Amino acid sequence: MPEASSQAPSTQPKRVSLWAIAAFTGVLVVLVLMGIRLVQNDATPVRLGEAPKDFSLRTYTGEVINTADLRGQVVLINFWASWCTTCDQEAAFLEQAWQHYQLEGEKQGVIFLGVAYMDTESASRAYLADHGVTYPSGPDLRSEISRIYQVKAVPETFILDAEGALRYQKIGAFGSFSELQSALEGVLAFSLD
Amino acid sequence: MLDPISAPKLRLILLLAVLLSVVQPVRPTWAQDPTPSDDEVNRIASQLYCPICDNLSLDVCPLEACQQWRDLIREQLAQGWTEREIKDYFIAQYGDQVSGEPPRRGLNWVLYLAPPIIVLGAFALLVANLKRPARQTPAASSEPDSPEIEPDHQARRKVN
Repeated sequence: MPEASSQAPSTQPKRVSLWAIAAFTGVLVVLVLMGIRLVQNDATPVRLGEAPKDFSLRTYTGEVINTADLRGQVVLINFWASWCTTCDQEAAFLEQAWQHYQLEGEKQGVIFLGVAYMDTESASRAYLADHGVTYPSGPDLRSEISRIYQVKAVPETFILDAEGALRYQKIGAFGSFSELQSALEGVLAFSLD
Repeated sequence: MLDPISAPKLRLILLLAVLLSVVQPVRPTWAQDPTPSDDEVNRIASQLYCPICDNLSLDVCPLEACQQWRDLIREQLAQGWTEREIKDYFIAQYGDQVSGEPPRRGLNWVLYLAPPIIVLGAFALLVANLKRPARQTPAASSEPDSPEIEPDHQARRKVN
């Protein structure tokens, strides 16, 4: 008579290889680091009413302007490029507005900042000279400013109130001086309230 | 003493030697071309990406902006800039995206190190598993006790 099977099924927990643990941990670490990198790169778009991150602009004349130092004044930031055909259209309006809104004594004025987007320095300088632009303009080194404002094309204009919060955004060129003026007056009125 | 026939020969040899000594240091020279060729410009432009386009290198980008950048490369080459200096300039001006590859710094090292580490780890796992001796299963070690064999099959085996 054959013996009945006396071997019970093994109740020992399955052994996990050290290699498997190391591999799993390694993959996990890589995924976490990649996630951190993605979060770091993910710039949140600027929203109306919120204050975008401050930046420094080194102008073509060598002046360094930090937006943090411009609190108390309305700031217009215009992204442009010499290769941008529609930028030509608004260049005259912007210069006209700059002449109109510059600080005059005690009167609250507007600071204009031109940011050359993805442009070569020689072409930018030629553009500024050709269009008679006199307000401070400088290159967007390493695209850091356009990344803050999530600029994907030019021209784009942003107007910050006296507290540094974004109050107006224009994608594309201003069609007339009055359009630009009404945008600035709106932000100025908001800042005076 | 030299014979009279060899004297003119000697003079000729001396004359030739003098001529050669004057002519020898003179090597053909060409005027240095101050304008780098399109090929030289495109060789560097092909390694840089248009910062305002999607996945388009500067050498094939049709935009006016790209033409300006190619002209800039040409100017820099003419001024004696090296390829590395030109690339560094473009990265400093327009950001890392123009280089077409993540800069080797900070967390970006994960992108470079992770793939070889994963491949090596997988290979090591494979080798470790291949070296391990095959485990004997209870079914294989004792045939009669095998639960897969139905009782009537076992009975038939005994008859045979």
